[in-house]
Amino acid sequence: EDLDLVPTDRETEETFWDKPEDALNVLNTCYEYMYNAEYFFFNETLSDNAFNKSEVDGSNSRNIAEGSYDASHARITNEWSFHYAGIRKCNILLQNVDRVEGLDEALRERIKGEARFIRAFHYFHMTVWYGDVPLVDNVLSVEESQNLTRASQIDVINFINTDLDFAARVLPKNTAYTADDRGRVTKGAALALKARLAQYLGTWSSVITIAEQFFNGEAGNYTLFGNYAGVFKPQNEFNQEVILDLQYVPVQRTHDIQRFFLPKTEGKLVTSIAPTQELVDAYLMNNGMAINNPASGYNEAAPYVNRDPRFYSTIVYDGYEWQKPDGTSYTIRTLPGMGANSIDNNDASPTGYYFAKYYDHTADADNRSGLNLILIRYAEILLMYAEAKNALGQFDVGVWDNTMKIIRQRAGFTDAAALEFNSAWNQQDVEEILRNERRVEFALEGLRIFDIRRWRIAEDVMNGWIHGMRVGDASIDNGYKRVDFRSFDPSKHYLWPVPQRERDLNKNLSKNPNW
Amino acid sequence: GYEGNASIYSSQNGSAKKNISIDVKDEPLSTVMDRIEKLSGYSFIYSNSAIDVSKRITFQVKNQNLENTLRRLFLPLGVSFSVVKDKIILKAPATSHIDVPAKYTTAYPIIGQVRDELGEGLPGVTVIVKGTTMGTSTDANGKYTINVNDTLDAVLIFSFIGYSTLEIPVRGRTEISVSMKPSVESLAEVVVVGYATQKRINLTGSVSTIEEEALESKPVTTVVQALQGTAPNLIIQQQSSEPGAQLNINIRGIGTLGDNSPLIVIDGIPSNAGVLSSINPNDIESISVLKDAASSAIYGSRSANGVLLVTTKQGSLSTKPVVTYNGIYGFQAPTFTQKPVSAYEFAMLKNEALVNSGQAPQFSPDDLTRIHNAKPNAWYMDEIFKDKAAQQSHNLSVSGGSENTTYLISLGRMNQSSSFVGPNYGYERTNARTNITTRINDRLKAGIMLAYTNNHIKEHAHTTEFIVADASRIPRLYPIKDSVGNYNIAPTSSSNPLAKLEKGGIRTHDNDNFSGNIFAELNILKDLKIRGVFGGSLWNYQTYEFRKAINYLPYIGGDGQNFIKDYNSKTLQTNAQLVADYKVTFNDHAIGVLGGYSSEGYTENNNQIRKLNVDNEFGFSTSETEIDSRESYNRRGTPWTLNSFFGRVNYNFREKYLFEANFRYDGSSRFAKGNRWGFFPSVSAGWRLTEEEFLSSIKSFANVKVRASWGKLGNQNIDPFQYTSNIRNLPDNLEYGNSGNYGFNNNSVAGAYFSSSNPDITWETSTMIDVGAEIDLLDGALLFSYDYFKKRTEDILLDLAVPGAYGADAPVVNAAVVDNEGWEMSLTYNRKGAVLNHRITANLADNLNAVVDVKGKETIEGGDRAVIIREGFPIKSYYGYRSEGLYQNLTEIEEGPKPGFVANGAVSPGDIRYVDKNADGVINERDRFVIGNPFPRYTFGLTYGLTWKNFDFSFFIQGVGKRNLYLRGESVEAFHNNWENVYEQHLDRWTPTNPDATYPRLTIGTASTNNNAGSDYWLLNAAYARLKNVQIGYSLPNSLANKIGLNNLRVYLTGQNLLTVTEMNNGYDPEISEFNSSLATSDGKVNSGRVYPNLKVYALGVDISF
Amino acid sequence: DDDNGSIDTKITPVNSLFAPEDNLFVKLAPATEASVLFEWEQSKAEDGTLVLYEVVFDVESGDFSKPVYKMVSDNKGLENILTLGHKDLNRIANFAGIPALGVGKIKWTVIASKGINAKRSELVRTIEVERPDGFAEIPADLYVTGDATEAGTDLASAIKFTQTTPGVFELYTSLKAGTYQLINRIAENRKVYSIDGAQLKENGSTTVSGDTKVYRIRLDFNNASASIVEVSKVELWFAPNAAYWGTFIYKGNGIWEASNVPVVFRPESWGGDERYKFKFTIKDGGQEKEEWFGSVKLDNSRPENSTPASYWFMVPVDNSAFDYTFKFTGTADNKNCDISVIFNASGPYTHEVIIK
Ligand SMILES: [Ca+2]
Ligand SMILES: [Ca+2]
Repeated sequence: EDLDLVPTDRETEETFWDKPEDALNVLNTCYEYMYNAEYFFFNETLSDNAFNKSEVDGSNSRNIAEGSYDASHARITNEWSFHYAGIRKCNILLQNVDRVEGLDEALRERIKGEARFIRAFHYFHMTVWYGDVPLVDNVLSVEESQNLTRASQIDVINFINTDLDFAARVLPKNTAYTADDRGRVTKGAALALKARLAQYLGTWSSVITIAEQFFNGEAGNYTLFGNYAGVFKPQNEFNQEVILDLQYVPVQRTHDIQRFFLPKTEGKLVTSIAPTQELVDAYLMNNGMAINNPASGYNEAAPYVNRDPRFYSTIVYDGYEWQKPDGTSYTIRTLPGMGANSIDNNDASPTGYYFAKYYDHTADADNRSGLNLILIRYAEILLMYAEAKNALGQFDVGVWDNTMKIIRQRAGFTDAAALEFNSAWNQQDVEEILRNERRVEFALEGLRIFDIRRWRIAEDVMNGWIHGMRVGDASIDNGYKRVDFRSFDPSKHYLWPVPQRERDLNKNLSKNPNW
Repeated sequence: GYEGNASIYSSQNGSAKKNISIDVKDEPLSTVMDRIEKLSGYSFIYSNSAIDVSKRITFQVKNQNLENTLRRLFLPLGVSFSVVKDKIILKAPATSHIDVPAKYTTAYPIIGQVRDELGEGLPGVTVIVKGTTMGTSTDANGKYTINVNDTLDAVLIFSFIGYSTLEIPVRGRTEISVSMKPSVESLAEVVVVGYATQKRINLTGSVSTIEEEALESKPVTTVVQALQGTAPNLIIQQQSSEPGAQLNINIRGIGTLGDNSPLIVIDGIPSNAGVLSSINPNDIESISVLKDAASSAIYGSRSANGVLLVTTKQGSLSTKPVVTYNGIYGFQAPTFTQKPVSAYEFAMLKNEALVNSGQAPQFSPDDLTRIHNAKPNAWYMDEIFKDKAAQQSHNLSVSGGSENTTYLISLGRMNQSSSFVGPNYGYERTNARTNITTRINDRLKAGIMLAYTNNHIKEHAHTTEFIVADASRIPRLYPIKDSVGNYNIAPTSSSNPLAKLEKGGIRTHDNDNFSGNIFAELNILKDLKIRGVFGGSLWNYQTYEFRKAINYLPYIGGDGQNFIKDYNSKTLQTNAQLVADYKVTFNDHAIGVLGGYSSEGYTENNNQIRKLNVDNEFGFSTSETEIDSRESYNRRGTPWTLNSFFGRVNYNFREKYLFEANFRYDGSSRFAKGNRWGFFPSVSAGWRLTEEEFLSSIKSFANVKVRASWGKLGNQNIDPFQYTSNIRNLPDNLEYGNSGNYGFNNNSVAGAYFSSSNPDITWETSTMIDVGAEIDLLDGALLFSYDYFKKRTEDILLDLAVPGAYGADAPVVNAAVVDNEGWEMSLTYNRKGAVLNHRITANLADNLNAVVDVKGKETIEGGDRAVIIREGFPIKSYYGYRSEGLYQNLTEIEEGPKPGFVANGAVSPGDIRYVDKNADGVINERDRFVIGNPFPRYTFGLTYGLTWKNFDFSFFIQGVGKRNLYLRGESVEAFHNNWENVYEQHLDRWTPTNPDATYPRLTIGTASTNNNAGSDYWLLNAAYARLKNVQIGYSLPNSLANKIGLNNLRVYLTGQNLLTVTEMNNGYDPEISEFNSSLATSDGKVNSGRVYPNLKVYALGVDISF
Repeated sequence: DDDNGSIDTKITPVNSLFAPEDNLFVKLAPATEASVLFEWEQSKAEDGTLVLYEVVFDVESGDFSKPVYKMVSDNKGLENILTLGHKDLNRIANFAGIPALGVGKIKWTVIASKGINAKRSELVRTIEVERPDGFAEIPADLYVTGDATEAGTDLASAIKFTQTTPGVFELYTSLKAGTYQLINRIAENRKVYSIDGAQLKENGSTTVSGDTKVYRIRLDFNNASASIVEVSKVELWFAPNAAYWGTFIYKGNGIWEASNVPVVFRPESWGGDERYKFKFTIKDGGQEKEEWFGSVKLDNSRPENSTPASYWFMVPVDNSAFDYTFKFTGTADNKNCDISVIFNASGPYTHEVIIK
């Protein structure tokens, strides 16, 4: 028999890189690994917005939120590798794309821009979680990977910015792509990620500069979508608010995480992502006042009345009218003894709340959804601009009207007290308002965990009990059900540990402080 | 040369049996001859001119039979002898024929009687005239009459099962009475070895053989099941007892980090475990287990894990057709399932766990009273399994032969119902075989063996793991169906396991196999044969899965997505061989030389389509139907080829000193040019001490042999094309909640996935030594053998753990070294009494592997149940914390180490305390130990058989002396992951007044974090001894059978898995392994008991032949 | 499984009561959050695990063989304390026969239990309560009359309330714009009450404005409290189809009726599934709530001719699809039926199915 066989159902490295599709297919795979649905949704459970009931689902994010984890934790071990796997794919493409013949030169540049953006997106997460990390800009050999050292965070940030600057330069604006290319990285996405990085670092002037590029159209054409709930609906994918989204395609590429946060009767699986009472309490009254403001009109006995309109499109609570895909509706009951969704049902939400946001009613019966997950949207540009202005002491009614007001209008507030700037507010008042606004505007969008870390408030909000709805004895926490006890050690928990596995395999990797 | 040795036993003179001892120094030959005449009763006939009887000799024999005595005396003198009747005829080498009686040319009757070793007439002995179809059998008194055409040259063959066949030349006699001796297997037995057969006494390698008896009358469904416990260090394990499930086969344990499955060769053609599992057990003649380098090096690059040689039955020449029917019908009952608690106990324990976890109790005093007084619900596990499920098999064969042609035709049908409730789930197999060999002329023989198998498995369309998990987790608080028959959805589940079985659709596997070979054998010279073989195995696999959407209304449940999946695959494995075999014997020297060439190839093509939203009744497409591109594909598979040269030389001196050398030179397509060819040699030697004078005088030693071997063996079992990077278009990673290729604008786009590769990969090489001894005592009634082996495997192919920053899976490299060491022994004892006959066979074996070198890179797999590959320890050792009991009070906790993985180190009395290995006050990953070896050690099997008159009885015990099994999930943790599972084992939980509990305090949710960390607390001793089979049979007396036209009729009752002795008392089967034959894990489903339970089988069988 | 299984249920009874001290006098203020703390020594379980507690109350002369009230301790029976609100204690006092404005004694003790082994403490204490200012006398009956009511101002046809527990009255009725009064008897020497917000007052009258709507009026004379909510919808839940059947129209006198409802059992292998219960939709200050009414029994058989009327009695149940459902009689399958829901004082709340 012939010993010189070649596979007949796939290419090998000898035959690859000889046609434009090869480069595009590798790029598609770079996109595929850019981020994932599990991290996107379960990130919320790392914060005070939600609780992961499961020790299995979401790579046991619960234990991180509880502060009970070490360098062997599954999520922390896996996420390190996840990003470097994505980085390698980008590096393979960047290292070989110039070999491909017959590739239109403009397209070649665009491919490089897309790949470098995706690489920057990975490093962004790497450095936010782990601080100093090895910088890899080529396709490594095994030996090389065993001897890497951690680059300083400054170097990593510079690297990210270099990639993003390149991407912003070569990538088309959102309006310049054809419909078939909807979902690709744009100039706007590159600028927005750069602004997010600047915001996390507190380089506010840079945030303002980039935000202004959005306002004047240089970054592309973006506006807030007409109604808040609609932003996250499948029929409104690719709307004008979306700057970057992770693509899913019904049937052909799906995620199935919604089964973990929908009411048990809809998710049809054990609920593991449950909004906390603390998040529920963060929603203002529709008059713009916080519920703890005695003048707000908040009634603890009827807590879900007259709240921020976003509450109703984000949180499912006892008495929520659930719209089923067939157009009928029914009432979700979460009080004890009220059936499958009840707080005392083992499989159901332990807080008595579920998420309604990101519910895809077109998902299949196993809750596999083709709904895109929005990684960056225009509302974030507005709020980061507002935050930057306030940080620099430049906040005024004009900034308010151009940011907070339109966000709240879009949210559905009508009461002037909620919509208008109050000149009596000082810088700290505004900071508090903006922070709370981010919390509710972006609930279940995975940003809260990064916010509480950059604001350095994790030790305040991630210590002690988180709660569910009020079903318990008034003598304990005023009757709000204790759901989980969390602890956060500011001396170490602001950075994840370098995974033990990595340090075992590469002696050059140092530890993070106090780990 | 000399002749006539067989006729020794034809003597009517009983003294011939008497052994001879002579010790003379410098005396005339005539003196010795006189002594022999006196001692034996034979007289010498010779010509004085030819033999010088005055020659002075020194001669010594001790307790030898006549033949041996004559050989020792005359061979050195150059005198040849032959024994005729009671005469010993001597002649000089050069002399011509002696006188013989006149030759008759017409039919001439010969009468006689056949006696057994006790002198009783032996009925039923087949007597045939050699080379003809003339035959008869002895009557009740052992007497016979037969006609021969040629009284001079005719030879009578006397054969009877369990006795050595005798060939007696007639030499003019009219009455021939013989005594038959029980076969001394060790002396006469011929063993199948690679590309040849060999007398067992001349083997220098380690080979175990399994005869058909070991496979017969057991109510098992596959050969592999029947093999368990039959040969030492042939280790059969199961991961599931589900009908049609494949079993693990390992020979001498685990020697590599990669593929550890042995090579399986069926009738000379390399095959695979799938074919072995599908073969009709009744078609098998014998199985040889090649264990050491000496026996298996001729299979070269695939022999490192041992070789199983399977030989199927043939007909016999000149035998009238024999029709045989074997049938078994019986019932299976599930055993070994978790033991539930009552609804009331559940509620009490749940309250306790909640309170222990800082939560409020769920059930009020009134609730508890109500639950206690309510009518109990059936347990879900009892509802999804049948109490008994039928199992049957029927086999019909015809075999026989004419003067030149032998044939065997067999048909088999096996039907095993699944124990799952549902629409007739089960496994059906149909086998057909024809084996035909014909002698075309004196020099040319040819044959064909052809077997067809159909495996038909019908099963539920879901995953057994989750059906069992669901059924075993739901407390008896909830009924499986409500009062009007709707499937209930319990609060902790979104589906109903019974609904999945009854309404969830079906999956069928319909797999057809043609296996076979054709061969021709040419005698070029008297001692030189050439054999050409072409064979192969063709599989056609079809799987059709139709999962139906289940409507749980008015309850709310999942399982709403229907689909069909249609999978087709064809694989073809072919092999062409050319083998030359030369054997020559001169004087005391016997030499054999064998050489050959073999070429093998494999191709595989498959395709699958998956459609969503089909018609829920029939599965056809509707306007809603969509093709799921993630799971729809067609593939031209991954071919491989292997070309080989091989050879063997053996030599023996008087069957006393034995030498053998083997080699194979293999070239494999799995490696790049330059790394492709590998040379695998072995050498071995044996010494039969019983051929030496110092042992020959000890009567009881029939055969004593010591042997030793050394050799190199290879392993090439990795996926093809790993030497080059492959680029696939389908996603290779479906984790993180995502599935499918990326898309833009809601259109799916193709990806490109690079596999990791290493152009330098080549063979794994095992170097193995083996020393062994075989001792046959008491004239062959007691057989004992022992082997010790040591194997080092180098250049093991593995994906070494690489840093995450590498960004891809590790490329396969030849990096690791593993040692494997062990021993095995077996013992057989036959005792024929006047009334009772006993037979005991027993075997015991051990193996222990150790990772020697993985370049310092440890690989840890798994979470709560972790296994590690670490230098110095067995492959995939269990890895975790070491527990030291339970905390009893707060002071102990105060002073104890704090678990870093528990928030604030918060533990309570009743929680597990862990050893702080590095004594830093914190329990974290640095405190983990290697805590156990998952691979079985001290595997054993014991068979005892008894016959009394026409009754027979036997039992077979199989077991493992040492194995660890790590349990996880609901199998140990009450309320695992907030589920509702609690079992009887949790009743013995820690409470302040039960400090010696086997289970820690009950907790639920986060509060369980400390106790469910992977530790040896959950490591169980999975040693067991299991009564695998019992049979009681009755055979009709021959006279009666003959009256109704039968040769033989036997009916029997048999049972499988009737009794098990084990320390494991939690309802989990100690026999079930979480690993496959290469220690790849089954994702923890076994560790958490989510498996189809083991089965007890009771059956009635009948064997008929006529 | 009819014994204790392997659970050790041996416990000691409560051997000492800590609080309140014997003969504590409490002037009840049920409108406030005030409470009385009961506390006792913990019981011990032989196996060292949890014991659940209930506090039982009886009349001064009682021996707890028929206690007037039983309450699990705090944290669902786990704690050896019970925080009992004055509101509850007021109700218990009422059960114990202490009239409003009256002073009386109530005995209490503690039952410790582990599973089915319940041990009542030998110790008994007494608490003396003074019931609050309010209604010196709780009426035996209660009626509503006035031009806002269905019966108008004709006293003779004033509509009677159902007394659900002592001192608590309930009425499902429609009200239109106008006024109404509550009266304790139709004959002379009537007492008159009225509703003012959430307060029940003596004398006066209550004004109704807006459209005619159906209400549920609940009055608690023990606590002088009143609640009026709108009953916006009554529906029949047909469980096997997860569907609502029929249009229920309020006919007056607490009766809703749906006529010519086509009843079709859901076909199943054993025959047909025919289970149903009722959902009331309540509007309370803009918030909608559902309230379910069904059978007293979790599971039922089909009614037959001999089935007692109590089969159709309706009690509050949970919103589970299947539990506490009724079954149609077998002959109702594939027939049109008139179904009436009857919530008035003529008897227990019930319903009626007439096959046409
Ligand atoms: Ca999409
Ligand atoms: Ca330690």
